[in-house]
Amino acid sequence: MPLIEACGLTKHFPLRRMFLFGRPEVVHAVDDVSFSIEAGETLGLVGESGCGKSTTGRLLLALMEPTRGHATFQGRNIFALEARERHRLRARMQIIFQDPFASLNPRKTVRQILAKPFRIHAPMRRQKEEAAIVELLETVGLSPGHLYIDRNPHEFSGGQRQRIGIARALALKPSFVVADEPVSALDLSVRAQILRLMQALQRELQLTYLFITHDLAVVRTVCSRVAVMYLGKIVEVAPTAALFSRRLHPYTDALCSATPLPNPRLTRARERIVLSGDLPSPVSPPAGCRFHSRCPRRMDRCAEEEPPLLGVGEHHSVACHLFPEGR
Amino acid sequence: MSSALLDIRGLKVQFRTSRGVVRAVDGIDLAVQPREIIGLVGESGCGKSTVAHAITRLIPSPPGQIVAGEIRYRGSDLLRVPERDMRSQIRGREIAMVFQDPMTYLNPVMKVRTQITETLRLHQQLNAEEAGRKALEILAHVQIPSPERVAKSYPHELSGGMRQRVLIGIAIACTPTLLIADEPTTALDVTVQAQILRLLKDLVRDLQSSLLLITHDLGIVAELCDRVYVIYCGRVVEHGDVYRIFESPRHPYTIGLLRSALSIEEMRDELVAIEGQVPNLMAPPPGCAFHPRCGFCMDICRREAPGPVPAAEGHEVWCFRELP
Repeated sequence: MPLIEACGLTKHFPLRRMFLFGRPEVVHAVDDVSFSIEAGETLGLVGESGCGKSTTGRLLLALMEPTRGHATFQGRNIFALEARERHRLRARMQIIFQDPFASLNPRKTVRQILAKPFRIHAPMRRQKEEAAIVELLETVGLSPGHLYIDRNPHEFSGGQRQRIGIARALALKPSFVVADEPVSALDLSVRAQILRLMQALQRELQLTYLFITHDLAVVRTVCSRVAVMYLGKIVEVAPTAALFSRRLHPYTDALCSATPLPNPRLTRARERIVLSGDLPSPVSPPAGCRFHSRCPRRMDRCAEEEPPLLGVGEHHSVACHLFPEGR
Repeated sequence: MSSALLDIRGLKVQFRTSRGVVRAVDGIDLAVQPREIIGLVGESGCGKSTVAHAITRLIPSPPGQIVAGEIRYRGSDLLRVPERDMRSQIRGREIAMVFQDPMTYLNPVMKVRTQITETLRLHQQLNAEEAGRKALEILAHVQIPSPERVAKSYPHELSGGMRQRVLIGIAIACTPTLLIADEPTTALDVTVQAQILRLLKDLVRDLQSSLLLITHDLGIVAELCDRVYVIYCGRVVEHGDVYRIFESPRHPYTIGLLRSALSIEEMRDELVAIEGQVPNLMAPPPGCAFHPRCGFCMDICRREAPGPVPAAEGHEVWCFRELP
């Protein structure tokens, strides 16, 4: 049984403008998204701004209610739990945020920030709590913990703050962690440090990650499987190596083609796919396949009929009329 | 004496703060030849943006100050040019800048057309009608699909990619000889970034201008640049032709950056990182600024700052390991 399952998750945000007649407008942030995550794996969720990946991450943690659909954790629907069970579930699923400057309360000390999860879910005596916090800090590479425990966030660098954010997420030894762009705001030389830390922690604590990012190079490096999103829909899911070598969906192909390589010979020799136009509005997404308006390989059918997500190989699915089932 | 379009020698820029003096740029030499694309690469706080702002004398003063050096543009030192001439002849006309976040640099209460005609009328003395027509031509030139509609719009009504094209349009309106782009695509999605980078490359080629591209993204450098300067702690640590820098880097910082750079083409078995963090520019380490993080650190590195050593034709490294 997969650890996490998204089942037809849909989230529409109503716009504030109210019309007297006709339906109020909504932002179709996430539309009928289904996938599963096995225990111990790192699933990458990639897409550009507005594709719905962050919203999907938050839905999986029950940080908001879906408009339709549901999600399960160890087989149980997380939206159908009683208050007490939901509270206990929170300790098993956590989040690491993107912005190491915005995600830590600047007026609290590291001690206060890291004590919070314990006080809510596993209160203990002060000395034990302090020992737990120090151990947590050392687990994320801020050693010796005693040096850092009474400092405020502004006294740390971006990379160190992100380590504190990771420590906070791991305090209660969760099974599932959503990492929402955890290294995008960090310098290049620090990114590798943090990714390495996340991988080591995954092995040590048997974590399962949903790794949300727009950066394909990061995905290639740390994810075992990848799901690509466009305008609220999943367009392709595959094991990492297969996704990058086969790039079946035209959008996946365009994304890979658009990502520059840190190698002048290779990157200049490549054939580039440059998409025309801008991203359509999620308030009124195109009919049929949402990508058809920018797709270099569109057919007539694409503007009328939405392609379903179909299996095309070993754990590989694509939502595209170019790949009817089995081919 | 060089035939370089832009020749910076010994540039030092400092910022005085209540907690001390930040040595943002600490002795940089840099040259841009005609029709060349130069990459200035480094991480946040390394001083690369400060160099860009110093060239057009846009450093806020106080607290900033250019304390040493010369910036020779076509032979004349821009640091000695009167402000009046900087405004009328240099900025927007000879040298134009494209910044990172178009929303911050476009006037939110002015229509796009007015923002372009403003620069045209200032530098080319066109009347309102001529400037209006030229503005539409410029919008078409930067590949905006419906120039009339965009000309009548306000920046907030446009997408990020469109705004950046408008900013580029304003920059090239008076056909500058040197275009400085400071992280022009950082705020954009990767598919839009590909469009904008291609646009910049085409424009610069058509105008026969040079481009000084400031970025932390090694992929962008590999994609566009002819030559690269690697900056660390306000100093150049290595510079050379793009192929040499990527294929035969000599400075430990450059080597570390390249090894920790992630790519969609490679599956890494092991993630390599540069240990430690960027030092505080108010109290940089003595000697070579990189020495605390350097795996090859020797005694001399802790005491003295290395000078440039040629590694090959057009390739210099600031490192004691490099034997002349």
